[in-house]
Amino acid sequence: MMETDKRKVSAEEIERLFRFTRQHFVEHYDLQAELADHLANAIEERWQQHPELSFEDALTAEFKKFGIFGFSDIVEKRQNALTKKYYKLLWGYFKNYLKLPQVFGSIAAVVAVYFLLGLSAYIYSALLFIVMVFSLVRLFKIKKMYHKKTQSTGRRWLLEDIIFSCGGIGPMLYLPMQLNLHLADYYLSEPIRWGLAVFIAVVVLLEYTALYILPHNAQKHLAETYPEYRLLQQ
Amino acid sequence: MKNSPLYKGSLNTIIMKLLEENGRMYGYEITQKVKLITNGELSITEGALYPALHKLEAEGLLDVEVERVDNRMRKYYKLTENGEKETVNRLAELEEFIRNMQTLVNNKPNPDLQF
Repeated sequence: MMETDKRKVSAEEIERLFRFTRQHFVEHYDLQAELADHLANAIEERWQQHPELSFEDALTAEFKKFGIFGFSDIVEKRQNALTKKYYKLLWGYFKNYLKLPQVFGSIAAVVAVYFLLGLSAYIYSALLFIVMVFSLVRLFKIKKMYHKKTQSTGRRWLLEDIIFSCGGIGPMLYLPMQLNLHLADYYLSEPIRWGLAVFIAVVVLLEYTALYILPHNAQKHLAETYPEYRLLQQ
Repeated sequence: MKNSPLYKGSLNTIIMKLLEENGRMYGYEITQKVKLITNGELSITEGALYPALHKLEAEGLLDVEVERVDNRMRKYYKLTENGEKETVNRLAELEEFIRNMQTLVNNKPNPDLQF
């Protein structure tokens, strides 16, 4: 058969495929585009054998191949893969605080917290409270900003979603508070003070990375992950 | 993919081997290629293929390229430098596994294989 004789999926039908993926709970554009292309290829292949088949019938037959869970398994595993990537990025930035010359700043922060804790055990609670309030305010702000952006573009990208929800930083904020409940009444010995100082410094650096640095560099990481991202932003 | 867990364990290696041979491929092309090579004996299901591709990509073993083909975007996968090295390792591992299994199944004594 000549190449030109092949029945092709039209632009309107591609739109329909995007809608179809959305109806089946694929919320993110990156996966929608990949699945739409897959379905379009499969439908065109099917038309070679059965040219009389309607687009909708061909689509139904091809979707069946995805099994009873449809796209849900693919969506879930993509989420896991990109969450892993997010934590890799976070760790990549965090490692910088342990390198020269930043490591001097990190050590200075630990020493400063250590001396502050020497003044009173309540300083620990006060520091955590300040960090928590700042983090929550910032988290709320960037989430609002991101929501506005997705509303205007109409597209959501999974990695961007994860970056702007800070990889589920919420529960992390409660962890130091749990420790706080058990510590408040005790005298802080030297090793405990050092341990807490390191702990607070790590929490602050991680939150700073997740709340400021990663959202700030989001465009760069999105362009690296999704070659189509830059194309569509123009 | 056939339902057997024996095949599932080798899916990543099969994908990497295909990419090593063909340079870059898109998801649908991989499913068709496997069908073609095995004369339809083996078919990779969509539900298994994409999670495997996304995982390999997140691990830095695959890189992606996007191109506009007809009226849609097509996402191509190719091996990264790390991916190329890893393919060699995984293929060697798979071949060794096959050899050992053959020995075990055929029940011929192999001095290299001791429990």
